[in-house]
Amino acid sequence: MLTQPYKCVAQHGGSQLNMHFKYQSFIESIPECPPTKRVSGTFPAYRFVYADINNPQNFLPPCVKKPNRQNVKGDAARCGGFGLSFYDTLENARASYAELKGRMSSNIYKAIGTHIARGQICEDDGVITEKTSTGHFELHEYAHADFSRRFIIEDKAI
Amino acid sequence: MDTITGLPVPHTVIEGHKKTADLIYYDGPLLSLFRGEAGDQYLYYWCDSDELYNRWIVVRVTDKEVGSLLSNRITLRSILEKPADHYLFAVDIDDNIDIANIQLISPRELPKDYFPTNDWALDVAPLIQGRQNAQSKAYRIKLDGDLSLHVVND
Repeated sequence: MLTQPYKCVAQHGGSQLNMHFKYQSFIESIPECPPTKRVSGTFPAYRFVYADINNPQNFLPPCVKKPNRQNVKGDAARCGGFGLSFYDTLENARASYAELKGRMSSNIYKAIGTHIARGQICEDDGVITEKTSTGHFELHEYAHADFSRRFIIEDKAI
Repeated sequence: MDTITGLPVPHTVIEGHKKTADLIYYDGPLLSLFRGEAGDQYLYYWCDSDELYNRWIVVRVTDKEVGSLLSNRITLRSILEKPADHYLFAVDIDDNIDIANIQLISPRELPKDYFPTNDWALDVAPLIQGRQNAQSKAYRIKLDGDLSLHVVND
């Protein structure tokens, strides 16, 4: 288990040229996907996860999770279906969880997780969307990215 | 997933529904608006899941209810408690996005934990940032970060 803050290690000599995305075959037919903004530098990120940080569902994008929580087949054509959601601060993650919990069934934890995990996003992890006013952004991972080994449980969300 | 004892009905009762918007979205839709072939509107509200299925409550809503919901004059909870048709559909959808079963159910028979935790308005006061998606002809109206309305234009 990770006990010390993860230190980013450059992959492929730090070059992002010709890097393949983890879900390349799914997104290559979706126009304007993935976003073009590369991760710049290293920064902390927070994500909703299940209590066991090793739960294989924790770092899967919506269209890859089992069972897939789409309500129409066409949703798989959305770029966001293959990105991972993160928040920039613990406070923003907590606030968004509380919003979702208040507006949805108390079963919401089954869909999005029970805890908030903290980790580092590194320069060659992938590309990201612009942060929203709530600190939320999506990351499209390069093939080598593996967040499950470098995030730790920070807080209980429910 | 909670066991519910509704009346099994054929899949055709929701056949031909087309999504028009996601009203609450986090790592996938949680509340969506659909339109049926006859022009009626329906809310698809996520309420439960297990290893195989996601369960959605499907409820017909009048145009007036949709307007009131989006302008925060009524709450989602009130629509689910008193649906226009006096009944709801509980729809289990599998990993392939195929419908596994549909039950017609009275709101009174719905597990209490299926209703929204708080009787909050959707709070869709628009902080609008359009983002065009060329292929799907969809654009996103950002409402408050990740709680967003994706309007789908077919």
